[in-house]
Amino acid sequence: MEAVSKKVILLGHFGVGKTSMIKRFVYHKFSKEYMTTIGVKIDKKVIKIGDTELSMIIWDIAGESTHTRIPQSYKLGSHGAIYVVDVMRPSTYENIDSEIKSLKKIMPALPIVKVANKTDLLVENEASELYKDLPLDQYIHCSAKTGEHVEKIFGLLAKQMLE
Amino acid sequence: MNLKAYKTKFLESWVQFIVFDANGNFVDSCDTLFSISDCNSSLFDDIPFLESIKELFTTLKTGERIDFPCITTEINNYSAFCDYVFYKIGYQNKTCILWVIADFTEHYANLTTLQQQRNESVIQQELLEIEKKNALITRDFLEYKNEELLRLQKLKSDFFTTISHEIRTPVNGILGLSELLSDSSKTPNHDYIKAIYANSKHLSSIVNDVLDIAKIEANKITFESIDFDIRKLVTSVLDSFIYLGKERGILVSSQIDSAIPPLVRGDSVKLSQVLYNLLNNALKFTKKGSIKLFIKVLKKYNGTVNLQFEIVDTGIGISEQNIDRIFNAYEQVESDTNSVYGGTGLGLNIVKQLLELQGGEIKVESKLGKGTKFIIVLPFRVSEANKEILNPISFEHKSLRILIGEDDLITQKVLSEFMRKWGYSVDIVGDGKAVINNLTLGKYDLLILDNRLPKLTGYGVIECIRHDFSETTNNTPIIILTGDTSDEITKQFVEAGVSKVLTKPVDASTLLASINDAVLNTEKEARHINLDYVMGVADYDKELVSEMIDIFIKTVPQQIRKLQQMLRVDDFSGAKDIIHKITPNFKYMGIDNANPILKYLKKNIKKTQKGTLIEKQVNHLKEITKLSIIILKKEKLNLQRKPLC
Repeated sequence: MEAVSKKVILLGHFGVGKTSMIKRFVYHKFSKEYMTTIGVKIDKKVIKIGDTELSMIIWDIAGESTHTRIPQSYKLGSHGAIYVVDVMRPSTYENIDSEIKSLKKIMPALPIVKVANKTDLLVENEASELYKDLPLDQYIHCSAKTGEHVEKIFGLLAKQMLE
Repeated sequence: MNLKAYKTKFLESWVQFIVFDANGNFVDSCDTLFSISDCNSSLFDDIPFLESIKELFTTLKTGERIDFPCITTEINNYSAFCDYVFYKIGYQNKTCILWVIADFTEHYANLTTLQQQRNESVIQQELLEIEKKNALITRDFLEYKNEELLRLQKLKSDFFTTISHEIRTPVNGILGLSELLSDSSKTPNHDYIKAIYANSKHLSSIVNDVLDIAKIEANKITFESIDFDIRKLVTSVLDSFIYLGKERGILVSSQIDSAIPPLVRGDSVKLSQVLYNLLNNALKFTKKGSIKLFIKVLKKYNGTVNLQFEIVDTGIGISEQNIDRIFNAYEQVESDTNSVYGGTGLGLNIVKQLLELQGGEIKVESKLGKGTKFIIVLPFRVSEANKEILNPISFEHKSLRILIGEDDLITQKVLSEFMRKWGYSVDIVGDGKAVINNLTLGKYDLLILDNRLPKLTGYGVIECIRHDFSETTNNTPIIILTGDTSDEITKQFVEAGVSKVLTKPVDASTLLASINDAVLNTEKEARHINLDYVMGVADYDKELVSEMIDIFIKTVPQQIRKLQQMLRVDDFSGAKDIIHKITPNFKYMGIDNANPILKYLKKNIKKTQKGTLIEKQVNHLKEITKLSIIILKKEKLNLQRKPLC
């Protein structure tokens, strides 16, 4: 089996649940207490994609309203990115199009998965109404709290990175 | 101790230097912060941070550095916030990477507390603002809802006042007139009964509207799904309006797209109700001019057909400020319309809701003083029964009543056996007079006649039918059986409107196919021509319409022959002139299936070449004209029909 390692960065505003998503994915845990992240914390999870053993080295980067405020070196050598927004806070997704555009400018080949987190906070009907208004054309909704779609999101990015 | 020594001693306590080679193999370390000197494997395998950036070291040039501030570090039980700097250096005669780790835990821990407070406060503020916005939206919505409820309440209250008045008037009329009629000393007056009938009818329409709207509002309305012939439905709805329109000098006409399937599946009663309502409105608000109903296929998909109905009048029109309100229930009672034109003001709302509940829609375009156009789009399922009409074999199963006029006993026997086998009901008579007698007694779906019948020949029978019988009998398809195969005989019968001329002895399959064709063509013919338009133009003057039919029969085939000659000599401009000349003739006679051909020819006639689609289209037009002339001849006879002899 071929072993490959890939660097994944998690981007998005502070408080959108990036750390919680990683905790759910790597340790299957969730804490509803908000603990801010400063700088970068790195975690690693090995998954199997077909005949490949993929080491996903996940950079949990402190949340900022724009990626331009993040040190350039954090993004160096990234193989994939997950851009996380909070469905409850419009400020976290209002400028997502320009954010993605500017990220693509510096890393044109970087696969990016757009994620709307905290869907557990919405009742079903509200959610479907809200998604219509979200400026995320190919977003995936998820809940780090319930675990809904978290594995799917990392799995999807893994496949895109191996393509 | 000199300054350099002090500096070294200061840095030594919180900075660690590690050196490793290009493959991550450990070379050296001062082990100030954590011990790594006993590492035997590649650092890339042990430290995920290094593993994730190992590609960067290959591109790093000697003397260059990369900085990574504030990295959460957990190595060999050492846990801290550190800044990392990487340099490419020469060390112990090989190219290595120097990894400088500076421990800023205290500084970053303070920063974390500050950042935590800042972030929490910003998030809290943001959520508060969202809540505030939501509260405002909810308040506005409740205010709007409240206003709407009050408005609706007032409209309903006004509506009931008006409707009570509307109901009282005919009820009082009925009571008064009944009282007059109950006076036994007087002879019953027929006018009183007529007035009671009119008042009851008016009352019934008001009550029906109120009940309909109540049913819709209570969500209790149901829709049927049955096969029906939309042309028949439109004709029956339109008939009364044509008559009423004529009385008031208003031309009421219709144009129905030939592409509409013969049978559609839906709720015919509700469609009648919608059309009746809209035509009634059009008639109510039109003092002069015309009312036209156009029906066409808008879209066909997955066994469904979307039909578009347009009701166009030249009436008083609707002002811009009122056009948005006309579909609202209870609205008319607010305006002056009710006092001038009467009515409950519920009709258009009922129409709109009936259409929308069936997946349809209604739009209106209007100009004050010029007229109004209502556009309806309504989906129908295409009936499965259409396949039966289009599939000749299935006619074996269709129950037809057939009259056969044949004097030869063996042929009689053969024909009756065929008919019995195919499940048709059949009457057989031996001479022409008996055929006429049977026709006066009952209705048949098809006539099969021997040409040389005793007492009255086959041709004689047809002549008698054309002159003395009703339109229905005239439309009955006829098949002629003859021993004489000359072209002249065939031509004579075709001109007389016979569906098929068969040579004796006839075999079963030919006869069955001919029966299918004859019945099918008759159904097609029924849809082929629509004289409503020319009747309207001629103000229902039958003589004038007959003359116009004669002109069509005389001139159009000549013009088509001329058109073919011109195309042969490439005279495209002359050909185009002819197309322009004959187009109105087809429109007058309501030959709708000629329209697409004429349009195509108008557009493409320059590009003609022999054997192209243009020639095919002209031939098709010629065929349509031929068939139309046969039907027009029948229609003309119907117009001039004498009483039954």
